[in-house]
Amino acid sequence: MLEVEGCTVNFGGIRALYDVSVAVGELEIVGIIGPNGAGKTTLFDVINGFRKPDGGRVRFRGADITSLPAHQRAAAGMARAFQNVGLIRGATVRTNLLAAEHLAARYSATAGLLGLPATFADERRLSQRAETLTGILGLSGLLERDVDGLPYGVLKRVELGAVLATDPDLILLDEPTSGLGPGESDTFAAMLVELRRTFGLTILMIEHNVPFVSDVCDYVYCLNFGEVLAEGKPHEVRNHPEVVRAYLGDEVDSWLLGAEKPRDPLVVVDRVQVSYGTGHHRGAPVLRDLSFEVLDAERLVVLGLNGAGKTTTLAMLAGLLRPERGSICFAGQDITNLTAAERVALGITLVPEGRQVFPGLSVDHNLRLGAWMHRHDSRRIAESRERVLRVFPQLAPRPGQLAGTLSGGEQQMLAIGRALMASPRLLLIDEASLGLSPAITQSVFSMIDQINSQGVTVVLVEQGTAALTHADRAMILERGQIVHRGTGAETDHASLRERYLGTPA
Amino acid sequence: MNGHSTVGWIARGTAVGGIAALVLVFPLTRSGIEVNIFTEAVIYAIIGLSLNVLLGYAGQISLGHQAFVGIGAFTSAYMTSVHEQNFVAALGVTMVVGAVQALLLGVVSLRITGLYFALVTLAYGRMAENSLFNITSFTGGSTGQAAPKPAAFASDYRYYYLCLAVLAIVLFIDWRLTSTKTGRALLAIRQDPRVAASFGASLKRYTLIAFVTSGVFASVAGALLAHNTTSVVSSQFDFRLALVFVIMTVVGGLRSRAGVVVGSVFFALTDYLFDRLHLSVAINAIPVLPDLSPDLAPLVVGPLLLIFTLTRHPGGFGEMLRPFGRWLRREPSPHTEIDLRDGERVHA
Repeated sequence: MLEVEGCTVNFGGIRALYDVSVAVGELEIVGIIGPNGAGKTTLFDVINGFRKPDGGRVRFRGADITSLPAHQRAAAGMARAFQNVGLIRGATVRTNLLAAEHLAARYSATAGLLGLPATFADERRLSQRAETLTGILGLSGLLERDVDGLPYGVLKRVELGAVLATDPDLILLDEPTSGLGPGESDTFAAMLVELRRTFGLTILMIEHNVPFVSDVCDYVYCLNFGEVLAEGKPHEVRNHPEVVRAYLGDEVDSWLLGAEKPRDPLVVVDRVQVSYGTGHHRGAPVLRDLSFEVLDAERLVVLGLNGAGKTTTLAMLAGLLRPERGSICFAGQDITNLTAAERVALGITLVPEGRQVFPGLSVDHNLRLGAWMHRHDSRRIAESRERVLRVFPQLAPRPGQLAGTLSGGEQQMLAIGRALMASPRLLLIDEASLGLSPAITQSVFSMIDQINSQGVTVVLVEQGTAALTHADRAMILERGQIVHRGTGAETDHASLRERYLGTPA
Repeated sequence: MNGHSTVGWIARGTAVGGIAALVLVFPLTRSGIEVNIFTEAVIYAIIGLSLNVLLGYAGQISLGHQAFVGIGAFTSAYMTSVHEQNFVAALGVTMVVGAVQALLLGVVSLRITGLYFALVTLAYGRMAENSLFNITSFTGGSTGQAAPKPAAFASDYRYYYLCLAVLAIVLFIDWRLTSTKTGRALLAIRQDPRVAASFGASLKRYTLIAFVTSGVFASVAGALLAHNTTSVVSSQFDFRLALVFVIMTVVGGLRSRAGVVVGSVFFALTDYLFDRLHLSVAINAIPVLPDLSPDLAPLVVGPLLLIFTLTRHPGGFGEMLRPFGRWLRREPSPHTEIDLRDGERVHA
């Protein structure tokens, strides 16, 4: 039914997809797994027409649709659910379903505007159709409710309703179980299989929850670095050595793992709850009742799958998100209500996910911007820069090069270097290894060790185990809660594998 | 709730009757010159609804709406006086011209968005003022173009009712726009173009439909405006007018038909109300303020109201009128309910 043939997508110099081929047969449920940044959502964008591939073709029911715009692909029978719920905010469930029935309307737009009698009848038909659909999905009582007030699990179901309202043959689901509780995802799996039968659907889904994928999928592709790493039946793929490596990194010798040393706490996070959005628009809490400490001059590694709340934890520490409940103390001071800028002044800096260097500025300007707090103190800036370049000697020979033209590893070094320019006491690093080869990842980590040995406390968020050799302590997050904590040595490959892939090592 | 009581019915009947009397009967008691002003207020309501289609539904700003209206006014005046066409034929040509010029601007909006598009519309308005409105054969030069009233509506009173009827048609179309697939497609596009595309709604198509609808409304309003004063002068359509249009629509309340109508009427009548209520005397009594020329009043009152709207009442007049509308339709007021998420009480 759907064939993706050798698709390649480049973002600037970065290769998001390379020669990816995926085939989905009639009535199949096919899963796409892979670590963060593997190119899964980009592949979806190529399939449903949001992005034209730089090479390769997409065929749908035998026809080449590579250059068909997205709305025409919807008309051809392709529907898509989005990672962060693709619904019209601020509108009722009924309006959302009616909007999704756009293609089912039998009148022309002009006839609708002029209020011709037939349009009234057709509107009634569309409304009834929406009501039937909500009946099937168990949403009947919610038709007149604004989608903004609904809990996340219900929203996902409304979105599925909207997807079905477009009368699709193929549906693309982007992380359907993210944000669902364990019980909810089981119900969801049963519902998907049931829907496939009643509506004759073919389903392609991106999913991080590998046990869920194994349950419902007929066939699985694993992407890594924009390439298909493995494909086959679910149990074959999840036991594939390359897949295990992509998710977890190389097996780590336990003697390399650090032992805990007695230290004073630098950061105390006490029972915080964090959600995105405000007021009516507030979503389900991403972090619930989360408490932990970061010890002075330690390296704390926070592990977890996508959607576990790792980035949110860092954003909360950096002051980009304010917790609704709970408190954060830094060096004995309550910083819960301080802004991000005030926290930088106290010595907390964040290296965001995906580096976020200023691509159009030179290496030197990027570093100088990191020292914004000390912008009037040129001697201090010069000293900081010298210190940063000692840690990252690769950056020294090319102060004038534009940051966007650096390699991924160099950009990561620059991003960390920029954060160091603010002379932090606490350095928060979000997925330093994202998109880097294992060798480069290890060299970045040893540079982080060097920074740490100068007394800087480091909190490192990672998905794989590669960082564990560089950790004093580690904790694993799942659905916004800590499910494991211990020294680096106590956080081993096997337990992580069970949590991520659902398979014992 | 008093929704079912006799008292409630009587109160509602009185309210509807009062509004009907104000709109339909009150003008009959006033002089022809005053009725001209009321007619202008009705036409402003149409202009407000025209801008609401762009600003409210399509999410596109137009700072050149004086040109939309002006082109309509001159086309109709030109067709009736120079080509001696009847009013209806002239109106047909006016609508086509209004649709085409809006379509062209709509095509531009597909390429340029946000602030840059606002600048394009601003430039478009200025360009129309300085070039199109200076073509003597089209606009009649500085003396203006004559625009006789249609024979059947030659009296100021009759013409007022004609404009009311057109407003009713525009309101009907606007209502159907929001309750059919066009309105929902625009809503989806405004909220998230990707979601709209996944529902099968073409951004291009529906954005252009919105531009054309807005253009037709504005040109019809322009034609009515021209014939109301029986002549049009190009100096009528300067940039300040476009600002007043935007302000009255936003202060009225985007996406609220009643709000936009009330807002537009309010701004059309500021001069009149200033005069009738002797507000200029009160304002001139404040020693620090310079003498305020009456035609600048909307531009002084407007921004103040705009700031007030944006900071205190983002829904504008429409939001304030909502409880009244609900009461008229006997709908229950929005109740607070227990939110399913964490038990906090929130407004539904």
